[in-house]
Amino acid sequence: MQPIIKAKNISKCFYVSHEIEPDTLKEFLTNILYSPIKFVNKKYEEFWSLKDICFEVMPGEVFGIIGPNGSGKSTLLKILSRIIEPTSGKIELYGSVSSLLEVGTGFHPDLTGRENIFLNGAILGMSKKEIAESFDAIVDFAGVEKFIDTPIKHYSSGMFVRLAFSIGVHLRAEILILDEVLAVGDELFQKKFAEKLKDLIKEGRTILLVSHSQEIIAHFCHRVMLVIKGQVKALGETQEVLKIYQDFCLKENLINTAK
Amino acid sequence: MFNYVESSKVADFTKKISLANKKPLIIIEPKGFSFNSLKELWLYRELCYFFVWRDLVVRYRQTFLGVLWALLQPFLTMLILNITLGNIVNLPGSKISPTIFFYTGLIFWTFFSNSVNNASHSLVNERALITKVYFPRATLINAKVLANLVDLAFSLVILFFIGLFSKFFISWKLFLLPVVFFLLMCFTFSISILLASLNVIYRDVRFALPFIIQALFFTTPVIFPINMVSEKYRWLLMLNPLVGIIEGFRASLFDYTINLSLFFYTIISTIVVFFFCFAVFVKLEKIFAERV
Repeated sequence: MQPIIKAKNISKCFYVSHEIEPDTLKEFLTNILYSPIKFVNKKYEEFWSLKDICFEVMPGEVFGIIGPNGSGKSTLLKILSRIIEPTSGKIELYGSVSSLLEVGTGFHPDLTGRENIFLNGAILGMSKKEIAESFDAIVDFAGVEKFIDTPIKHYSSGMFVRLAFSIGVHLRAEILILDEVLAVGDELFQKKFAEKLKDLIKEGRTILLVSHSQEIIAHFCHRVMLVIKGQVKALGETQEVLKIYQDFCLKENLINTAK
Repeated sequence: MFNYVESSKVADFTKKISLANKKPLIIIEPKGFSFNSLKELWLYRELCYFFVWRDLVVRYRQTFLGVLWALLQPFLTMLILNITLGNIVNLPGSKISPTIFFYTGLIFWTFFSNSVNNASHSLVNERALITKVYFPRATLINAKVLANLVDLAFSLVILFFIGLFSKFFISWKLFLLPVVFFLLMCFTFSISILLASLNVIYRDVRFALPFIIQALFFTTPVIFPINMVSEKYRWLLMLNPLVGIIEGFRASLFDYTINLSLFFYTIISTIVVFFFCFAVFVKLEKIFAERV
């Protein structure tokens, strides 16, 4: 079988300037005027957020990505979602992608629940027809039938999150990218969400899952990639990679306490 | 802890995809300069429709007068101008009434300035979307312009009734009308997309915008006919495509003379402006999510 995601040598470099970046045209121009030489050889420090990341994901696989904060996981997801461009490397995707990097992006407080479902669904890549088909299921899953025609500025934060998630799990894309999404909502809803996720897996969707919760990773993922400081430290069977990660965390802890 | 999935149980659904797609659907890599985003803009037209719809709903919800606001702004300005400048404007060779003269200029101007105003903040205001979801960024700008087009449509209905009272003048020049609308849309979109993308990098745009709009207003024949400008400087005025667009609009529907070479010049300048602005946008689009 052919992989559905092929990522080859993905690198991302951010240029970090230690001088204060000009935020306005005036600052930019005065900077040139005062120190033209400094402007020409302006020193940027290269910061490689990701370095030569390679991996392949098979169709129907649940692929976990773990790593400490600042390891480049979010950058990788943003590149996979086409929000930012890689500095070098190439990713081939053999299916449609939807990413849920944050819940409720694009929700408008003045619009009703119904209107927001359509708007948010469209933003996340569903067609109007698809949203209309899934509409009842979305409302039902979120449990907001009573308030569906109320502007969401009057929603409780729980209702808001449930509605946002509910749209996310009804996306039709073949590849779903989920960033830390199981961490929100009360326990009841988390359980419901986990059930839904299992259904999606059964349907054969390919899922990329980023989470800090080792429990969730161990529960859902077939394979896991460990990213540390922008590099792949381990890639393979869930239990093995988790073990490596735990060892890494223990070691870091020891170093920190020793300091 | 149980391991949830057995790999043998991969659904037919997936097998179908993997067999069907020999070629990658999406390729992500550092991209060079290309005008491909125009094509993508078309693919995402449904999302654009949703943004337009959102803007219109949000704009008029919780307002008492609703869509009437769109009509009032140019209409009241026209009445005021009729009182103050109605006797001063000198329209030789044209049998157009000052009412028509002002109103035609004002509705086009209102469309242009409102679109540019709304659109230039659209990227910065939608930071959350731009950093979390992928879609062609120009969709946001396009939607602002199209939402204002709805307002323009309402104003055109009013113009139709005013025109019935004061007489349309239908001639071969009517065929200028579609061209005029195309040029208006094209120029408005160009300036909107230019200012919106510059705004992402330099927030100066916020301060420069009111001045730019005002300067354009005084160089556009909205409240004065172009023949009131001394001939020495008239060519300078022609640098502004809105001159030809608004003059063309008046000429197409009413008894109003237009210099045709001016009109052809407008067509060319609008297209040049469009490619320049769109090129700036394409250049900057890649870093929107990092800089916004």
